[in-house]
Amino acid sequence: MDAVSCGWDAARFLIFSDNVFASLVYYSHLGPLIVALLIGIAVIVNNPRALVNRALFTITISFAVWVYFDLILWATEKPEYTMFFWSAIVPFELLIYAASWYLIAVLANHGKEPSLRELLIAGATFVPVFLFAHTSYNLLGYDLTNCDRAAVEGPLIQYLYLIEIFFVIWIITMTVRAYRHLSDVGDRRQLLIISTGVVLFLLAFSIGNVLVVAVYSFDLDWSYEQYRLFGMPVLVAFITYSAIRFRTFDLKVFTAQALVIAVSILIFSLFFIRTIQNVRVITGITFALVCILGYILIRNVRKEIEQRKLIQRQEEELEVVNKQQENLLHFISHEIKGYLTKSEAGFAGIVEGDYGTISEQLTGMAKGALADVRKGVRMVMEILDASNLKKGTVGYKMQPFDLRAAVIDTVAHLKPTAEEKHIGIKTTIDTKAAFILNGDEEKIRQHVLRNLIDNAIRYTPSGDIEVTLTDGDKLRFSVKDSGVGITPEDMKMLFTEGGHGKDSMKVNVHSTGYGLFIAKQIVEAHKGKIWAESEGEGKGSRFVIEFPV
Amino acid sequence: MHHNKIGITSRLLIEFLSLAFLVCLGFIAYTMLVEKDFVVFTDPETIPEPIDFFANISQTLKELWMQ
Repeated sequence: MDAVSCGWDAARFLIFSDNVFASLVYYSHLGPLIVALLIGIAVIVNNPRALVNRALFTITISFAVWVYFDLILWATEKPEYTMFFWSAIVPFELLIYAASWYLIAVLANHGKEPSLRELLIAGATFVPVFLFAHTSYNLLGYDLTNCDRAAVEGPLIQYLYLIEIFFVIWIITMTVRAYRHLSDVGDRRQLLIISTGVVLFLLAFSIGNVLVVAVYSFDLDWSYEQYRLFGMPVLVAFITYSAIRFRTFDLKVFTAQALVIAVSILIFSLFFIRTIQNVRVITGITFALVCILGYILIRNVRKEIEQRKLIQRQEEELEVVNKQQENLLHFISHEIKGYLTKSEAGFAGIVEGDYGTISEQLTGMAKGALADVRKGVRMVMEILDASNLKKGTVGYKMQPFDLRAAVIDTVAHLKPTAEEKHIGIKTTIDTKAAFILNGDEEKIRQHVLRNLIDNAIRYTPSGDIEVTLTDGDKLRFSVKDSGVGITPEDMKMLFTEGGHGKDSMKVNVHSTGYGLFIAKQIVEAHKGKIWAESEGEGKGSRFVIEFPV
Repeated sequence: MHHNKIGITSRLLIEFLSLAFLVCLGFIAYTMLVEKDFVVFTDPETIPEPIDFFANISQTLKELWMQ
C-alpha cells in the first residue's frame, strides 16, 4: 500500500490538496491561524519589552505554528512529512500551555517574572519532550494499513496530556490565590478576565484532544474535533477587552478596536463560504460571543474616550482659571505692597520725629501702627515671593557663605521674640569651624532659617526650642520644638502652596500658608532636602534641612 | 504593571530552553526527514497496543486499594 494505491493527492504548498476532504478543515484552521498571527504581531509591535506581551506573543505564534502543522497533516501525502510534523507539534503544544502559564504568572505577580523555582518546574516539563520527541516513545510509526495517513502515537502523548492538565490546574490555582491577595480592584479584574480567556482557550484545546480520541473510538462525526480551534477567537476577545479596559498589553485603542473588527469580519465571513451545517453552528456560537464582548468593549471604549475628553477640557479650564487667579493675586499683592510701604515710611517718620514733636500717646499709636504695617508688608512679600517662585522669575545670587554665622545671627535676632513668650532657644553647633555653603545667603537666612525658627516660636505656647547644625556628608540644620505638633493629615499639606494645617490657624491666625512652601522651593533650588517629623498633635515637631556639601 | 526586567538566571534558563527547543526540532527533522528512521506498519496485526498511562495508574491504584 502506498500513496498511489491509496489514491492520495499530492499537496501543493504543503497544505492544499484533495486529501483534505472537507472545506471545514480549512475554515477551522485558517481563521484561528490568521487571528493568532494578527494578535501576536499587534502585541509585540506595541510593546516588545513587556513580559506579558512576550508571553502572549509566544502563545499566539506557537498556536499559529501548531495550526499550520496540523493543516499540513491533513493535506500531505508523504509519510516522512506526517512523521515530522506530527512529532514537531508536540513541543509546540507544550509551549502553548507553558507560555499561557507564564502570562498568568506574570499578571498574578504584579507584572514581575515568576520565581526561579516556578520557572525551573515549568522548564522541567519540557525535558522528556526534548529527549523523546524524535524517538518511537513519541510516535511508534506510520500506519499504512488503511490509508488514514496517520501516525501511531506512543506514551509521550499521554505524558503531554498529563502535563497539559497540570498547567491548567496550576493556572487556576495561581489565579484564585492571586485574586485573594491583589489589593488593586483593577489588577484583580484584569487577572480574572485574562485567566478566564486563557483557561477557556486551553480547555477548548485539551477537550479537542479528548474529542480526537472519541471521534476514532466511538466513530463520531469527525467534524466535532474541529471545535477545539475556536478557543482562539474567544481568547482574543477576552484579551482585547482586557487590553482596552486595563491597558494590559499597552495596545493602542485603535489596534484593539481593529482586532475586534478583524475577528468579527473573519468569523462572519464564514457564514457565506459553504453551507455545511456544522460550520454554521460553530461560527454562529463564536460570532455571538465576539458580538457580545465586542459590544461591551466598544461601549467601554466610548465611555473612556468621553471621560478622557472631559478631563482634558476640565484641565484646560482649570489651567486658565489658575493663571488668571495667579495674575490677580500678583497684581493685588504688588499694589498693596506699594500702599503699605508708603504708610510704613509715613509711620516711621512720625515715630522718628521727622514731623516734629508729638504727644506720647500719639507716638505709642504710631509705633503700634508701624509694627502692624511691617507685619502686613512681610505677609504681602511672602505671597509675592511664592508667586514669583512659582512663575520661575526668581534669581539666585549663588556665592559661598558661612551657614554657621547665619544660624547664630538669626537665632540672636529672634531671641527677644522668644523671650517675650518665655521660650528658651538652645543652639548646638558641632564645631567652631565655618560651615561653608554655596548659595543665596539672603534667601536662606530670610526664608529658610528665620522662617523655621520663627514658626517654632509661634507654634510653641511654652517650653524650649533646640536649633542644631551639624556637618558630615551633608550640612544638616534642624529646629526642634515642644509645641503643638503636626497631625498626619496636616503633614501632607505642610509644604504645599497656601497649605494650612487644620489647627494651625487657631495658633497663628495671620499665617499665609506660604512660608514653608517658599522654604521648600529655596532649599530645593540649592539641591537640598527639607522635611518635618512629629509624633502627632501636642507632641512637638522637628524640621530638618540637609544641604549637600 | 508593565515590568520588563528578567533576572540573569531566569534569562539564561529561558535561553537554554529555547536552544534545547531548536535542537529538539533539529533532531526530529533529521530523524524523520533525512534519515526517515521510522517504522511503517503495513499489517494491522503488527501495530503495538499503545501503553495507556491512565489505565495503568488506575490499575495500580486499584491494586494498592485492594491490599
